[in-house]
Amino acid sequence: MAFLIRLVRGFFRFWYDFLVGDCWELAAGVAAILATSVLLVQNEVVPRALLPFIVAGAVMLLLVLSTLLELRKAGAVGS
Amino acid sequence: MFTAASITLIVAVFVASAVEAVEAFTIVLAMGVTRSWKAAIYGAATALLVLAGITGVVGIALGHLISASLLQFVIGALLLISGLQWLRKAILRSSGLKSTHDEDKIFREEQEAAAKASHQIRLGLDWFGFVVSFKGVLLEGLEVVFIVISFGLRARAVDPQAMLHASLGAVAALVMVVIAGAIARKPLSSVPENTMKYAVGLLLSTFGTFWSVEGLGFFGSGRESLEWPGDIWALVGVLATWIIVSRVTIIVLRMLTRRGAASDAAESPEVAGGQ
Repeated sequence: MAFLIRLVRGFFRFWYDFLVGDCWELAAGVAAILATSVLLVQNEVVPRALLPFIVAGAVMLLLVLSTLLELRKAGAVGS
Repeated sequence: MFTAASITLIVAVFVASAVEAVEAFTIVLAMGVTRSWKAAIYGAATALLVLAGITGVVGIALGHLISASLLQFVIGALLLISGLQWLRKAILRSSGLKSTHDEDKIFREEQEAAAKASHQIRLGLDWFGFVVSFKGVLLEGLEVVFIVISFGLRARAVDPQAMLHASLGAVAALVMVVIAGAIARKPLSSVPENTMKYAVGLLLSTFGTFWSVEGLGFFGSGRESLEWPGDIWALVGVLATWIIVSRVTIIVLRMLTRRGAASDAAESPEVAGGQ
């Protein structure tokens, strides 16, 4: 039983480290972007041809913001 | 026969797997040198068997149970999140905000921990050496399994033997790292691991962006994949954009870091003078 618990715990820890790692904001941001995109597709709010550019642009902006957040955490930006 | 698609697949999986193989090799080497080569090799071999089993079972199950466009979405989303994590770390390392990965340091730490641990013999093996080697290879290998399954399943549309070719890329990376390590007889610290991680981050983010957008079609009226302008050639554009975005981010971060350091240096004499 203890072995099974360790196994399950290890499984979830692996996925947590793999996806969330040391920046939960990235995982949450991608989830939010994709969830919004699903709603856009379902409701046909945006032309399909534009969706690749919207999603790619949003994800790239997310990465840049996450690195700037790290810079702020490190205190490297003069306040 | 190897086509352009299968060679691209093999190279992509090879690069991604080589990075993980270097990290696993460091742990096995530390256990072999400090504890017992027999236990380290048995531990690594057992983990490789488990990984091969997971690849086969999960790969076949996913391929048969989930629709193609939903698979694209799920795999794309997972690749995108993990790719962004890799890319973010690589950007922070290149701009000096995060220390670089040091295999020599990791090797020394593993050696010190192994020297302090008790000598317990189970199944005729040094148990500490076996368990650490097994866990190290299993954990690093699980990421390789994920990459093999995701790339292999997705590439089946253009390459019927994609799973086999993806596995071949991973095995080739493992063999290359073991041979290089056996020749060097030390941690592979001279391998440009951080540059490789940057390349892997770019690859995973590119394929993740591409597939997650394609997979969004599952939620539309026809449940068919969305199409990128230019179809498969859009991958080149996405990769080029990721390279530009990451390089510009590194330059901006370096500038901001230097400016922050300069303003700190300008402030410190005043603080000292005021005391």
